[in-house]
Amino acid sequence: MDNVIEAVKVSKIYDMGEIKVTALNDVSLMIKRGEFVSITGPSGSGKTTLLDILSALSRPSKGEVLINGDPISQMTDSELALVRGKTIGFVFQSFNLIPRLTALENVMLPLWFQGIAPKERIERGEKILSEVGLEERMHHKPNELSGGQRQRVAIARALAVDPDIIVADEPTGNLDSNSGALILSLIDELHQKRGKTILMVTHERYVAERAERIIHIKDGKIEQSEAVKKKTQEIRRNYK
Amino acid sequence: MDLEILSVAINNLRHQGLRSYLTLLGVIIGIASIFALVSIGDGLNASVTEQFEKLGSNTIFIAPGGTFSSGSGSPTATVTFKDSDIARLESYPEVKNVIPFFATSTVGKHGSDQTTISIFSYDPDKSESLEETGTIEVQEGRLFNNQDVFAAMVGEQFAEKAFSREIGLKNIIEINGKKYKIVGILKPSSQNIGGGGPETNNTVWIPEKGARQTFPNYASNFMFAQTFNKDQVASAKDKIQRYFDRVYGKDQTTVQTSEQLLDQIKQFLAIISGTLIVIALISLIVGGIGIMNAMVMTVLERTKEIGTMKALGATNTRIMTLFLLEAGLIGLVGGLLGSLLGFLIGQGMSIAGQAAGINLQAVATPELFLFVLAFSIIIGMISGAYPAWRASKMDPVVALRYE
Ligand SMILES: Nc1ncnc2c1ncn2[C@@H]1O[C@H](COP(=O)(O)OP(=O)(O)OP(=O)(O)O)[C@@H](O)[C@H]1O
Ligand SMILES: [Mg+2]
Repeated sequence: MDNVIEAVKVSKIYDMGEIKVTALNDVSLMIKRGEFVSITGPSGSGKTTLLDILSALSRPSKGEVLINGDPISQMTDSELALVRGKTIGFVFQSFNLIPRLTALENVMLPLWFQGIAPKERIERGEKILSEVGLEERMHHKPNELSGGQRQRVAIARALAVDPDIIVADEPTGNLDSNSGALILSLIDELHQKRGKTILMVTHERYVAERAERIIHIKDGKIEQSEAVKKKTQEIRRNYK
Repeated sequence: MDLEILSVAINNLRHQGLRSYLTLLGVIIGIASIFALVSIGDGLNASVTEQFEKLGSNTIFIAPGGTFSSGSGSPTATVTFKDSDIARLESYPEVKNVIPFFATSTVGKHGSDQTTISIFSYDPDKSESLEETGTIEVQEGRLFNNQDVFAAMVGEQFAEKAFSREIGLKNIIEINGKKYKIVGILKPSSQNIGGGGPETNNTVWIPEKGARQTFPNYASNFMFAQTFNKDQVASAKDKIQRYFDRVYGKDQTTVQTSEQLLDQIKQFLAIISGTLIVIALISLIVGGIGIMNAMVMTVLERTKEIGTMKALGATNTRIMTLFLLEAGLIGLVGGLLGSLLGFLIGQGMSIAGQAAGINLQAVATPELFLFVLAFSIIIGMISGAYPAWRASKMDPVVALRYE
């Protein structure tokens, strides 16, 4: 079982009453364990929609998605939420930290949802925050942190449950180039050192080329699946 | 459910600041009014019961007319009681004694000052029996004796307030041209009979001899009958009623026990306090709508957060529980503070009432407190149910895209 995510002939149709928007049109895709995949394409092409479907955040209108071999159509919403919480870590473009909670509390949140005991939550949360270089900022609220620091908290939060898959939708979209570079190298590290499967949406070619494979989307269809040369990956990853 | 969700809910509420406090205020007002009204209502009930217990539960009231109209003063209906009626009642083995009265109302003068007064007149031979019923209790001076003709007794409050100047022993009240000298001042509580008996504030007691010379229409138009003991009251009452129905016709006289009178007054109190509590309930419902409104706003504002939590693996149940708890907490805190405020209002009203001469002590029991608290929490949860349900049903993708 070396496909962590498998999408089989999935379509996503938004029913707007009179008009129906086909955001994804009969897409099939397999993501191998430990793979780093970029999704790219023009605005409105369906990148986010595809990512939502692959990460089990929404159910397809047609077709099937399998997470670690399990079809999500067979799961209830609650089961899906728990599977999602356990297997997939999310990094959002706009960070989506809970403003009332400290960095540590934000990181502990998914652990709470998984029913992990408070003591272990704190230990894990502190450890992960140190790993992303925020040991000094653990008890700060998001509004006391810079954009780059916030995104690192978000990455720590995505890592908290030690998921197989990290999903990131334009993770550097709201960051300056320095902070962005730091985040991207953190993501590389997750892939290379921890063997995480990475799914990243980006519309910048040089960012996409850090991945092993680039999926090009246009009008809700996969236009092309392009393998990136090892050499190119390295150049992009070392580029600061 | 883990307890932690509670601290998360508390944290969320704290961060809502002013909105939480304003929502809370709505609940506090509703709960405080319910608490205060119930405790004052219970206090009034207790006070009335106590008065009646003083009156003696072996007293039967007999008055002309269909029913007693509580507190309406002198009976005005046409039946008057004859000596033969009194003799008949006294012949019953259960009956210890019978005290007939003449009751009317007229104008009383003190110097150039005048006011409407109720007259109650009785035979001084019955002074002792009357005292035994608890109807009258001397505070100052004395009860009537057989020599008294133009003598009067008045309640303490009457003495103080009936005329522009306070009157006391040996002062004169002029009734229908006859000058009555005050020989006794009565304790206030002893006059609270209600139910066709002497009224609290403006009763003047005079002896039968004086009344016969002052009122040409003198006749017994109100009676007390006392039984030897409490157990005889019911059967004596039935006998007396049957006798009067036979002699004067059905519904021409009303015979009632003090217990029945108490029931009537309690019923009356229940209607009043029931009405007030319904009004208080409405204000609590408004408070509940306030909670609902605040929760709908909160859910809307936290849409993106709800989407995030769902993405991070929060189940619908957990989201629902969180928001329900937040609403329930507003209910809980509102219930606690509202009960406290209601308790203070009740105590304040008791003190004010006592200062005004009303024997009232608001009753605040632990049961009332727990009931009001539970009620408040339930109102909070009911109001929070719809917003919480909406939050839990949100599609995570739609919620995450919400701006
Ligand atoms: N909730 C929705 N209701 C209706 N249409 C939607 C909804 N979400 C997305 N769409 C439509 O689906 C299509 C794909 O949207 P999607 O957000 O996946 O694009 P994208 O490739 O991520 O774009 P961008 O690069 O701008 O983020 C668009 O035409 C969009 O308008
Ligand atoms: Mg997008």
